[in-house]
Amino acid sequence: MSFIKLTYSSVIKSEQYMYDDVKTFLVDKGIDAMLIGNIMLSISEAFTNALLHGNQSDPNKSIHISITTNNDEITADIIDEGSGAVEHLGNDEIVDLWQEGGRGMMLIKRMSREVAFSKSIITGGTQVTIKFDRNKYKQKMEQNI
Amino acid sequence: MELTRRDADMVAVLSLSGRLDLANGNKLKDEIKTVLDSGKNAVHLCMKDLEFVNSSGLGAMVSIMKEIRLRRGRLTLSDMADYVREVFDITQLSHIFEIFPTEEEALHSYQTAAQI
Repeated sequence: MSFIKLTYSSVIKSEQYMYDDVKTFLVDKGIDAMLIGNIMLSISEAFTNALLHGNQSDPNKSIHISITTNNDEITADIIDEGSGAVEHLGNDEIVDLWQEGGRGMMLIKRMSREVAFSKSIITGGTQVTIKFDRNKYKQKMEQNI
Repeated sequence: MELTRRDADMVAVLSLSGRLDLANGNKLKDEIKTVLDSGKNAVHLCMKDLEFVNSSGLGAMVSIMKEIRLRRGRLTLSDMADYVREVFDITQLSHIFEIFPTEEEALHSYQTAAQI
């Protein structure tokens, strides 16, 4: 089992650092490139949500990411230091294609196996837990052979 | 994200590379505004080297599409990587954007439209 814990300030520039750090970790662990794409997109969406809505872009508040990998599963936790409200999360319906926001949850749900929201016992903010099947693409490739 | 611009007759062609996300969405919107303010309202985005797009980047895309339509212009996209295309399909944005397999085909469509 492998584990990494990362913490970022709630500024837009952090997204770049987060992207590079998480991708480097996943590549080092030998995760399939297509699955890395799924994971990066999902974490990116949760990270943006934590930055803009959870921490409301307050640079004094942090975003905490932890990723655990084993042979079967990859789990990512994204935690902010906001109010811990989770009621508004989970809605993935786009009513108007011309709206500029609101697609993040839809993408997370499509890219992952499971997503859950809770109030973090560590920060009191919102915790988004996303799980991925490590062998998702390996299984698909075997089915195609 | 890197943006390079060239003009092909009446169409401003912008090539995107890298990541289109929260940090870069405004850069794309600013560049499109510059194009529109220069008098061109036909814009093609070549996405051949675009590695990553998330919902913030998609939001920027919708924003520029609305701005171009407001100016009675046209926006086309091409050369999407499979992953980028998947994101457009999941969010159903492929229904509102004109997406061509290649830049050549997209630019040809402007010539065809001009002849009609």
